[in-house]
Amino acid sequence: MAERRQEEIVRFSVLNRLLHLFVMIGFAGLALTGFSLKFSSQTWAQAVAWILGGSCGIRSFHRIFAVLTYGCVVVHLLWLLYFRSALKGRLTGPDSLFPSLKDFRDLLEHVRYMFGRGKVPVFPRFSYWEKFDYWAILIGMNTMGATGLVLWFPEFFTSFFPGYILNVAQVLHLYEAIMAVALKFVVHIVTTHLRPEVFPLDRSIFNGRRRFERGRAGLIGILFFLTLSALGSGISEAEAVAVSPMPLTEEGRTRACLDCHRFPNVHTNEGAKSSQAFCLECHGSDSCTREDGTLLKVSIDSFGKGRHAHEACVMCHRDVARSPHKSQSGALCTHCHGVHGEGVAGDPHLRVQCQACHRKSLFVEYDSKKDLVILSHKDDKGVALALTDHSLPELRDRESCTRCHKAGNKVGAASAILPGKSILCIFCHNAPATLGHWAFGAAMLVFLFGLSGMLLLWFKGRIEGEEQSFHKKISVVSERLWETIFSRGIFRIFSVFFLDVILQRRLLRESVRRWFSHSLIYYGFLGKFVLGLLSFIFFGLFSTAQLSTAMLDKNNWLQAILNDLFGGIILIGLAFAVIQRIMVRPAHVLSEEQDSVALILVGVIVAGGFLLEGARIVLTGIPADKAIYSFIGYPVSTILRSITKDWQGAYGYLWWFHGITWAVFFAYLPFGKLKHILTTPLTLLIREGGTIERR
Amino acid sequence: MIMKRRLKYWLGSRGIIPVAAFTFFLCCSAKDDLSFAQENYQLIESSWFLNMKDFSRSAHGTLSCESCHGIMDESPGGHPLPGTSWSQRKGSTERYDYGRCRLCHKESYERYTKGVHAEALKKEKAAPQYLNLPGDKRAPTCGHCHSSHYEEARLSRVESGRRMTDVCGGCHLSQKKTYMDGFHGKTAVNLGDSLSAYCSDCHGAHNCVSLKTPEAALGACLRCHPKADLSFAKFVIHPAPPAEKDGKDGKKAQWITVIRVVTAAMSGLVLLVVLFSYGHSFLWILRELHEKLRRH
Repeated sequence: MAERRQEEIVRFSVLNRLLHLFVMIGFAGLALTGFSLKFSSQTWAQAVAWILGGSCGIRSFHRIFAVLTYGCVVVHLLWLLYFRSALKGRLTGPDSLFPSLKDFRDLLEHVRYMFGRGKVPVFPRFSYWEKFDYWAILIGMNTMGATGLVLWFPEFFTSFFPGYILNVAQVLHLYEAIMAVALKFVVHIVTTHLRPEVFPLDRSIFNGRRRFERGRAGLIGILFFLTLSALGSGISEAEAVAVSPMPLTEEGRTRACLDCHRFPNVHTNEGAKSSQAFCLECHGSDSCTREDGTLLKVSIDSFGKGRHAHEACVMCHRDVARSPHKSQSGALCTHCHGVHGEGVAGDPHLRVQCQACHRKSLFVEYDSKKDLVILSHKDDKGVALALTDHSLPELRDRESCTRCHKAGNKVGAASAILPGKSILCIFCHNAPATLGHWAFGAAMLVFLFGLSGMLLLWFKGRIEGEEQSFHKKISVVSERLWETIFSRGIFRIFSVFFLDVILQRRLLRESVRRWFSHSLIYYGFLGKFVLGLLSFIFFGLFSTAQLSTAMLDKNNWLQAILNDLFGGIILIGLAFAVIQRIMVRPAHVLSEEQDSVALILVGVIVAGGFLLEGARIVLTGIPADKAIYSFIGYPVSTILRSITKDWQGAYGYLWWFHGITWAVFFAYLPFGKLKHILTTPLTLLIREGGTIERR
Repeated sequence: MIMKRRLKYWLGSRGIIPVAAFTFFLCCSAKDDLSFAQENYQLIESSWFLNMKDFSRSAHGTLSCESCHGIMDESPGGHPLPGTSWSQRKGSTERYDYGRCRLCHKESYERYTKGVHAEALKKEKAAPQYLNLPGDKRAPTCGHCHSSHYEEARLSRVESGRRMTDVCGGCHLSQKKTYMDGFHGKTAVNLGDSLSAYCSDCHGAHNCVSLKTPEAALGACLRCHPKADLSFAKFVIHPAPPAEKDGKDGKKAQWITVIRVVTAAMSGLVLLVVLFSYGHSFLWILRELHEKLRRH
């Protein structure tokens, strides 16, 4: 050991190592305190502020860290001066950090290497990225220091410059900080420590030598801890329901203000009844009419016997008991009930008011202000309707769907009544746990048939010397499975699953290009599957939470972006694969017919999906500022709109085309080339399980 | 080999912990919320029903109804009858005579009458076309900012400052946004630093002053920054793009343009640099992983 050490190059002097350590501490402290101020509305930042002693504490610590960090720059510059004048050292040339033309050539060559053409260039003592790191931080620290100083002593600096220099300094300080954190915390750590060549830690900056032993990195642990603590900050305390428990006074004497104006405890039957009595004082009589003469009497028959008989009126009509006596929101069902998912009505119908289906009135209209399909206050002849019937009709028949889903409707519904999504759709969409239409059931049957054929084929072979008995083979396999799951081997299975199945290590070993094109398709589908699965789980667990509703909503901006992103990634991957197949044709591409069938099927499904999305946007008339988040679907919709504006009839056919192509794809899975989606992960895992056994 | 084992160690066995924790936190944050507490501030205020729990806790909790409302049957209009059209058209804040507040809150009332909100009210009364403006463009009276039934007494400076930010920000949206983006808002509202400035510290509570010129703002600055001069007061506290009607204030608009240009340029630069270096690192790692896997 000792001999080897002497041979090694001393890369960093003690001074430089010390400076790096201080800059590291100072920079982390600066980022922590600075971003705690910037993001002070977040709980984590307030926690940091609380620990450091409030906003004064944050400021003091920020300034201490700033002095520490900038002090390092000063020491470094002084040392450079000493190095130049006393030691007669050279500040330029190949051995220095001074940028040269060669660095630019190195960069180009290195990028060529990344694309698989050429070798890693021989870098000088300081490579171009190290120089970039150095100069970025030197320039950055000076601008940060200068702007920070301006913000530290605003009164002093504004005596030389006009006051808005403070605004400019704030902007520069913020953006420079974001850039510094984005580069130093991610790129610097990744390229110098986490790169496969140096993983897990390049110690040369701490012990000065070129790396030669690698210690265990606590770094990932720290990163995980930081992520965890950041994640934990989103929880706020539940707020108590404010209800007064006071009893009402007896009838029969002069009313005091609070006999009527006290807010009743609507969570008890007495409170609900007294609230109803307040409203029914007018709305129970025949003289209660609108200005145009529409009777606003609420029939006790329809209301008092229904499910809501023991609810206060103000539980649903929440904003109407006030002056002016006018509701902005209408009756709100979602205060108590969650929306229903895919399973019940085919689609969540989030842009349809609950009452539009759950009331007896047959007349609906689209309210562009609320962006909702609502019950109309007029029938189709323009006669005013009162909508006071509070009964809840049965909705199992398809008749009630035809309020909207009929040819020539004006609410932007498809003219066909489409079935709900099936569990098969969960690979790309959120879906209920039902099979849905018989066509999907048939696809599932064919799939299961093919799957059992595959399993039978596997069990035909010899398993641990057993050739004949099917029963014994199964018992041997389940025995091995049990042994593997309840042993340390399960962790190896997990790691193989992560590295080979999720990260596709084997493909990357073969070729970066293949990994890339396969990954695009694979991660696109994986992303959509994870989205579908997450919304399925979330909706199942917390059906009334805002997040689950947002996950069901196709027009939610994040859902729209993610869905289009993943779909787009699949399309790009397909294009990449087709180009490989037709134009480039490297040796490994065996363009079998089955491959082409698979590619074409996937292409048709994804393209059909985007077509459907475009048609949906045209059909439902989603405003452009909302639809724009579907950054592929929206351009498609503008093209479709230019063809014809009437997609009500065509939408049903498009839907069935998309659904049936997916059903065919799914049924075809265990038969063709696409089998690899099932078999490859399984084979890898079983092989790994096998190696454990042998040990 | 060491690397491989270590990667598996972290991502295989220990990877479960963060994933489980992540799921747990996601589940915790997705809780149901069906409480009345979410109700809009304004809705509660104009409701016909009085929430006694909050009222008895409020600053006016010891007053009887008649102290403010008089005896209804003896007042000129009597109790507003249900069904009469004027009771349906007008909100309670517009109908109530806030002159009665003066009986107890004399100083605040007089300050209000000298401020810009009262000036706007005078303008509104003189020119009826202002009456058609939407609610948040109308001149505010006492009831628009203060909840007469539920306003709590003896709030700390920080707590009243936080509520003030919401109340003023309800109409002055861009001012609230720029205030919250700035140093004062972050320290005062988010971090609860009572030494920092809330809305009324610069603009005054009842005689709300618009501090459009540096000369006007300087007085406000001097309350906390004793060394401030006119140049210091040129700091743009609310650097929002100026509205059409404020076009006359040429210099401030210029400064704001400078600030916006710098912001745009910096965000462009940050985006470029970050995109380049992230792409660079990603490709590099991909290639090195490939080479490494080949060697094994």
